[in-house]
Amino acid sequence: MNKFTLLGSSLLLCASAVTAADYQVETLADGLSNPWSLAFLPDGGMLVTERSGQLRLIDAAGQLRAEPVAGVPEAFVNGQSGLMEVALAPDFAESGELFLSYSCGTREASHTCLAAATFNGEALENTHEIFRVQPAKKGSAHYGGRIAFLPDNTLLLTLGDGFDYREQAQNTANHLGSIVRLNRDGSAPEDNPFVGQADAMPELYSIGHRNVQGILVDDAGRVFSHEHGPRGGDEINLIEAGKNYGWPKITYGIDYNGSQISPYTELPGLEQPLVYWDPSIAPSGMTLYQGELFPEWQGSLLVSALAGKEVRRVELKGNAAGEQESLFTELDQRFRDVRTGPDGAVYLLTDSPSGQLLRVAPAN
Amino acid sequence: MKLMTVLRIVFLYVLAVLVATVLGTLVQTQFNLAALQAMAVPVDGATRLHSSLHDLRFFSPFLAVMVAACLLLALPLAEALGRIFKPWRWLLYFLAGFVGIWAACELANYLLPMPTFIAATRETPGLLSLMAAVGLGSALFGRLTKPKARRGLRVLG
Repeated sequence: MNKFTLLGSSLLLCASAVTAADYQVETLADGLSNPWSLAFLPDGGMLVTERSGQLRLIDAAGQLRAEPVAGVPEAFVNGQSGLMEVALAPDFAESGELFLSYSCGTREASHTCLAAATFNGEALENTHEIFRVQPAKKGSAHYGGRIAFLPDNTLLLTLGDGFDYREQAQNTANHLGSIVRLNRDGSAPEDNPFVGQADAMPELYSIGHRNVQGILVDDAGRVFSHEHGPRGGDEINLIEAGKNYGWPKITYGIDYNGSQISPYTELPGLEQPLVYWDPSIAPSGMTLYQGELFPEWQGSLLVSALAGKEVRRVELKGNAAGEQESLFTELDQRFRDVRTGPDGAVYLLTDSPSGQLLRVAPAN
Repeated sequence: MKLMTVLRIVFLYVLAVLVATVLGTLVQTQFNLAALQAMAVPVDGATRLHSSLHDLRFFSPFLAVMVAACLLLALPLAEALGRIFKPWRWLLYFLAGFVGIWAACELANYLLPMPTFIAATRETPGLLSLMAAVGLGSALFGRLTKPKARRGLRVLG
């Protein structure tokens, strides 16, 4: 295991209540091909997805297996597309069930897809597609792809607007630019908020999103998500069933070429973000820190960022966002994902053709 | 070529880029606002003016670079072809800008990370309108640089 230690001290963005933490960073694995997502196995091992289409196993001894896990569905790999999230079912210890999100199809017609499979400790079995975003879209951008489980055992899958199809995020007749709620077999729960509405897709849970790549459900059942905005429009949202989060009718950002996307930042009936970032940080993953190793981060959202090359800590004060702090900037890495480990350490994936899995623990 | 002639051509080139950029920017703004209106977003006159001014300030510099680059290549080509096909000079100049900005958009979409750099060009009507805007700027250059017709009775040729 390639191991190094780096002592760092986090940067204070805002004064007073935010407390710096001393930590050390250990490299658990490297040479990963654009690692995208991480899941902790009950035996102490980990599963890591690589956007290029492989699922990698780091065993309980901490060794990265040379051979990828077999049985992974074939992904369409191009641009932002490929294999994305791996999420263990809440009853994984008994069922061995996990879910994989990935892009499927071709450059001319691709979808965000979701597959279920059973992990036997070495390989996936009974891998089968359970959901596919409709309609197909051209290009290879904005697939969303994060997964979270609600207390009722249904799952949320985040999606993107396909970039060139941004107006479709307001169209309930398709899945683009939404968060969908699914039963574990991929079907739509009967109590989904848009069920029964004429022409609406029954899987929809919330609409008006651009490219949602962070989602979590806290112990109280609150759903937090973040999404890539345009220039200056990245957001954290508190998601509620049936709500419209505005994209592209309202946004705090502008297009990459400087043109206006909407003259409005708020309109009646459209939800406001808890946080928006200008300039954008490109949020890519998120965890609610509830470990014991960093008491000063307890209850904060940790948001990994690509363009920002940091993990942004956002304090929560009830249903509002508090002060923020930039972490791990000295590593100068694009971060694809951030997780809280069972041991209370913070785990990071760096976005690179030779990406790393990092473990952050207190320096002492 | 005389210095004044060169300066005049440079001035007219800058003018053509300016006209094409302003027209193209207004195309982008109006198509974007139309897309919002199609989603029942209210757009009154003041909002339209504000959005247009925003795009003239922040979007037009990007478009100007694309227009300047494409006309730099397209205008000499139009001039050369215009000397061969004299009756079609205005059309050739229009087509030079019309096709040139399309090529510039294709190149930008190929080189940049986003699938489509200018949102208005996602659909054919918006793309054709932007192409026409740059075509008009290009045609203006052709009109202002047109050689003066010879005066008097032309007996032979």
